[in-house]
Amino acid sequence: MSRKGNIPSEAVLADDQRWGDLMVGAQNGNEEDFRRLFQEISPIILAFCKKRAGYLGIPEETLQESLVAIHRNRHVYIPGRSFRAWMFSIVRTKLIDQLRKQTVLNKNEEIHRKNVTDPSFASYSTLSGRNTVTAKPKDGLDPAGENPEILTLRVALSQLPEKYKTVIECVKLNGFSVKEAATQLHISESAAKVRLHRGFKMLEKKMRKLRE
Amino acid sequence: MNSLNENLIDTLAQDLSPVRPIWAPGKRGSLWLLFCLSLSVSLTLAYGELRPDYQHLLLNHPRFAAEFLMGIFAAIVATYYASEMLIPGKEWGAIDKFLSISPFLVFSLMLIYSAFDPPVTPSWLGWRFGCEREIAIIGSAPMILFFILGSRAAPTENEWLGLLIGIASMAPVAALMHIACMYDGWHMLGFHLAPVLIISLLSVYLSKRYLRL
Repeated sequence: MSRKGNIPSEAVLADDQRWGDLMVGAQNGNEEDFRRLFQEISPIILAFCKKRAGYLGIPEETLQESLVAIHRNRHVYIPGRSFRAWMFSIVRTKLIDQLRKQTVLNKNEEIHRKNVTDPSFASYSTLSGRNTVTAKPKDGLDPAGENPEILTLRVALSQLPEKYKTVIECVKLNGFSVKEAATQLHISESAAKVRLHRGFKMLEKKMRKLRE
Repeated sequence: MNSLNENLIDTLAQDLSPVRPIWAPGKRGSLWLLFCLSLSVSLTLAYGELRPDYQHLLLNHPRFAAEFLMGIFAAIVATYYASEMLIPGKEWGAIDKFLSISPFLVFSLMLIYSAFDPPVTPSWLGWRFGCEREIAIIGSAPMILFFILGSRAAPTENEWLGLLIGIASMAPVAALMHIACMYDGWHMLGFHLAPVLIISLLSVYLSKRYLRL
């Protein structure tokens, strides 16, 4: 069962099995298996982190920390158990560590104090996975010092339904082609194109609304 | 994938010596528990004799026997969950955490109840000088071993793991004091149960600090 109690698809189970086998190869010192495994799981981990904390700018760092932790603890993976669950458990722990570190850093910044006390700034719920971004910055500057248009884009993207957001992230943020994105997401190429098209239309509407 | 990640994978690939997977949690936990129980029994016997009437109490007073067995059961359950927590992969919800300590909670509640309504007549018979220190000292060896095992694993629930390590290590000795020390409800709360709670809280702190992924 996945985290939300949904039964994983056959593709997910197949991935899990394959990654488990590759991990066993990596445990045996097989470099090819190791590289293939890490190349396959890297975009998955990155997408996972971006979904939960992309706004904070820590997904790349979390990805690297996670890869290092997975490598260092490869002896802790027990062959036959779900690699996916094992991997995501490590990734979640590293993500929480990064979020805590970010919170400690932000506590000393004036902008962060303004976020907490000023109700006009958006609040963003990350670990729950539910996006509660509603307001735009009051004075044209966003907390991270970003261009307001980029902030608007981030906010609008976070409000999209999951299936559209994921395909836009794959193609536009992660640099995959539509065909590669379709493979990653286990959907057909035409379905990926349709989702991309609809996702952009929705994104455009949301951005227009946020600018008002 | 960007070049930074490619470089990272290249770097990690340079250190790819074969590793042997750790033992399954069941095997690890069972062996550790065997060690813990054996050590607890042998050191308790080495330190002093058992109560002269312990057999009579165990066979003729069911609540007394139930308290003793619940203490051992609390250690078994805590060991099972702690061993599983050493391996990432499972999400530990509130129900799992509650189940992991529920035998210990029952054991504690039984002792609290016995302070007001003891199953056997309280007396000084079998009193052991320094029983509270004995619990802490005897339980510390298996606790240190569990921390060593934990340092070679990848726990993701540090604090709860620390609590379970404390319970698993100390509860057997606390239970053994039922047949090795005097029986008085308040004495058991203050000198048998309290050390388990204090050491378990210390274990939470140590686990949070030293057992990091």
